[in-house]
Amino acid sequence: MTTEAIQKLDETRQENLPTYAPRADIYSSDTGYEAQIEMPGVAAEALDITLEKGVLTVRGQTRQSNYEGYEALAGPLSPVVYERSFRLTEAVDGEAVGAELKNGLLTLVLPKAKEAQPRKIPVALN
Amino acid sequence: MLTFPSLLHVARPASVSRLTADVDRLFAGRLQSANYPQVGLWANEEEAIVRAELPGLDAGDIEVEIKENVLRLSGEREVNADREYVRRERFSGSFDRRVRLPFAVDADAVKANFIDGVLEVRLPRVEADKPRKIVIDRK
Repeated sequence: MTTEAIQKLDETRQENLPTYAPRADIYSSDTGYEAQIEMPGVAAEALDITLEKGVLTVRGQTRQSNYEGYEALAGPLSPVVYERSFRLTEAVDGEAVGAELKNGLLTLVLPKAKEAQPRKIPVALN
Repeated sequence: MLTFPSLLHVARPASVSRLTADVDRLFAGRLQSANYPQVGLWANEEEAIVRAELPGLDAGDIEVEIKENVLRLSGEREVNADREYVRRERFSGSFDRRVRLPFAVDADAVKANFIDGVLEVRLPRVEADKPRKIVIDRK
């Protein structure tokens, strides 16, 4: 099989994985928000975080052996994709969002935007 | 989709079988400890494998015990009560999950590892419990 064909097959496989919205806790503080998102089985290199048009999307694929030679008996048995999106308002500084993945838990730090400074508008004098 | 900071709109991406369970959990406010953690079970004639999803915990937070053919996973996820929640979906508190294995296992030979929030326990079957072929004597 050609490399291209294999690549295509891999893509198809990835698309066919069941996708779940991961559970999340969200805290608020004076300085901003913190989201803790559960992604068990997702390694840092399999995690994507994108911010586009004010929507922050996290997407991670679990890594799991298929346990060849074993019979699957119960529970969640196959790899999955975790995906969830959050809309950020202007009150959050999208440029300053921080992320950390540890033990299958993704922590997003979303600082509040510095309040728009009140500005004086000079009136042009004729 | 969640909106910061108003958090008014909730939309969930395509989900299949877990969706209804998710919704139930949302209404319940928190997961019931009887269903936590999620556990997958595999086995062949030699060994059973249990995978448990425990995101955010450390290996030291998890107790693994074996009694006869039952694997017990217990522990606690504490939460900081001082922090202000906007939304709460994750399990918190103590859990005690028992998994019945398809055969008796050799407790001394059990191995466990914890990677990316997933606990994998490998439980070899006790030798005496393995199926044996009996040769029929011919007279």
